[in-house]
Amino acid sequence: MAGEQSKTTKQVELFFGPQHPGVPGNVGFKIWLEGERVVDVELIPGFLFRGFEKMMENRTWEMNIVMCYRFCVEDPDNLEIAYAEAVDKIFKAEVPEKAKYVRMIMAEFSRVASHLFWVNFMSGGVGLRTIGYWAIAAREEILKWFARVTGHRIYHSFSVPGGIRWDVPQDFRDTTLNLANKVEDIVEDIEEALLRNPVFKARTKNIGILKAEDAIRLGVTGPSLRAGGMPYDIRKAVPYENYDKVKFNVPVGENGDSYERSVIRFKEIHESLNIIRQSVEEVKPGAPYRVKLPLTAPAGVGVSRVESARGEYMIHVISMGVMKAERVDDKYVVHFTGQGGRKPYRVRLRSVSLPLLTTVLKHIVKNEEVTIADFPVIVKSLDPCPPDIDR
Amino acid sequence: MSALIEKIIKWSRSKSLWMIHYCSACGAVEFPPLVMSPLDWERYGYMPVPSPRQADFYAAMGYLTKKSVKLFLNMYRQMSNPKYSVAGCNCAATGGLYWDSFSTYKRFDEFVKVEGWVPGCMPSPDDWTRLITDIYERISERSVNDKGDDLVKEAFEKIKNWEEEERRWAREYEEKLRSSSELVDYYFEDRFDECIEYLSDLKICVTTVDKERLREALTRLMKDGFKLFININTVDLPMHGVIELYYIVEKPESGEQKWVKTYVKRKDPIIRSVHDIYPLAFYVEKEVHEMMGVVFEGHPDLSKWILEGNWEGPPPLRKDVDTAEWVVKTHYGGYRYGR
Repeated sequence: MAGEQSKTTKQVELFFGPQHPGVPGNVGFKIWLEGERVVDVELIPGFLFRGFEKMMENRTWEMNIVMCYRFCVEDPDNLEIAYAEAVDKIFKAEVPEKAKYVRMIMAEFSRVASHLFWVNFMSGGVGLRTIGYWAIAAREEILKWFARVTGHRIYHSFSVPGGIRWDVPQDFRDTTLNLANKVEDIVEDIEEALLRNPVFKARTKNIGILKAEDAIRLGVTGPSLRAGGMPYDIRKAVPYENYDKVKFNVPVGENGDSYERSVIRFKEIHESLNIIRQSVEEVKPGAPYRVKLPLTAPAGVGVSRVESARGEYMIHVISMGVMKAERVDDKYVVHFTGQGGRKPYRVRLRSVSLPLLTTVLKHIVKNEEVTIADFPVIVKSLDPCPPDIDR
Repeated sequence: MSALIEKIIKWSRSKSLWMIHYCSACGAVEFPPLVMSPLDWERYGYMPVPSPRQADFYAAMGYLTKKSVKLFLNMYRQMSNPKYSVAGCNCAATGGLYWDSFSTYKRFDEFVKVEGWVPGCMPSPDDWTRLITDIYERISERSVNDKGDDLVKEAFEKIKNWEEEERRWAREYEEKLRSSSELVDYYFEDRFDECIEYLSDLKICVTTVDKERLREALTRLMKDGFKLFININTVDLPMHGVIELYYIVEKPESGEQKWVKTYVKRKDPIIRSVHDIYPLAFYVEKEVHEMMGVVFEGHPDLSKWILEGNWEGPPPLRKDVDTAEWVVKTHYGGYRYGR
């Protein structure tokens, strides 16, 4: 279809982005129009490409902490945990319980901040800009809390291999619970104003439908998959940290349209705050929080799977020693022996936003009549993070 | 011109900075707090506008990827005079954290004259606010007749030269690879459907398959319920003369993963495409092709994608392509701390 002209109407080829308020960050699209209708879409990535996978090979295990979370700036802590978990496995480090719970609190606040940032985009996209202001105000409270606990607003480098970087402040429990209550208040206001708004409903209901079976075929994970009716969450399916020890629900939708994806994200914010309230009670003052790791890693492979705000991240880290393949008792075994060195041999990351902006958008514009006015709203309702496509 | 009119012109120029709404890099994540709730920059006369023709201000928010810089230069020429640019974050000043990145330019002032710098990674909103109050004075100091078109003349020539250099390296690399006599020293056995390695805490089962049987294996896994395509992981092993490929598929009901491992020779890396079995593989294969140089037979469009406009050189993720050294040589004059 791309580039061809149909017999009755003429197709118009149009560049959309990267310099456009309707696109989610620095990424472009090429769209084909028939009148008002979008008939095909192709992603133009690469505006944020830095070559992380190569750069991480040039840096030591410790230095790579500051690299790993820059894959996605809106939701950094889940990536931090993904890297820390993978490296923990290579070092075979026993992470203290306290560190696990603090990591979970960080990850959940990062998820809430990311969803609030999305509220700003989404409400701006349908013309309800006031609500975006409230969301940014709520996110600001979280950023202040991050600055107090970790010393930074956006990038924290707090979850490091072996635990957390330093001990949490003395009033950690009180400030965290206060923050959770404060954020919940604002989020309830936003929910009321956004989800019941007739303008918002008109722009999102029955638009951009993505059912679960299609979503799986196209490679989607995260809230966009759950909105279609599949309760799949890595935190439940393959629990990491201490997610098996806290109680939380996985919100599921039915229809999978833009409206339901929005509802799911709000429900997730409440679940995240629940997890935070449960975890913060387990953070005991004075307990050990970090094991020191040696500079040189043993040889081995570290893999971690993490549920981020957008779906399943997977980091595959290889610490290369001498690779040996041999037969042991009629079984073929590959193993690494010897010292791995101070740097990873290879780091590979899964991009969660890649299916959202490529296969999913193609699927949606082929299966329903999407006008050019609806297109940015659908893109925003999927909540993609372009830097993790490019890396 | 009378002094009063001059004063009014300077005042109005400095107090109405309209910025191109272009979030070029990660520094943009601090802009909503600046423009919105806590700091509200509109009280300084600042506003983001969608069209470059209405704008007279540009802020580089962090790293300058080659593709973004080309786009920026294009936009900069459309902006109305007088126009001002500032550089935020360390990356726009020295290359910052990404000093060895092969796809970013290191200094913003190689392309345009920079009115002000904001240090830090991330710079806090207070730093940005300090910048905008300082910029007023800078603009007021400029003469009224100053056109303010500060594009560095040889900007485009520089980019052309760098790209030419990259292309030359790509040709050299290809010749070297063709003439080298790399032997394949790699032990591999097809044991499909049998876990040669099982990571129980992650529910990952690694299995091996010969590359001729890969499509057959993946079709069978698709039927068994492994419907979610996760990724293709690649590992370059020059000491063994091969590139390992892991095709990762997942069963969303239980979270089980299958890693199907296979390999291709480095000198002749050809494998059948699986994009008709898993639609997402279409894009992942494109990425692996440009980064690793693996050729997917039967793939309809193996053109440059992410690297288009960013990198003309050899496949960057190959282990024998030392991009860090090349960057130091071309962008820092051979001296790492010369940046």
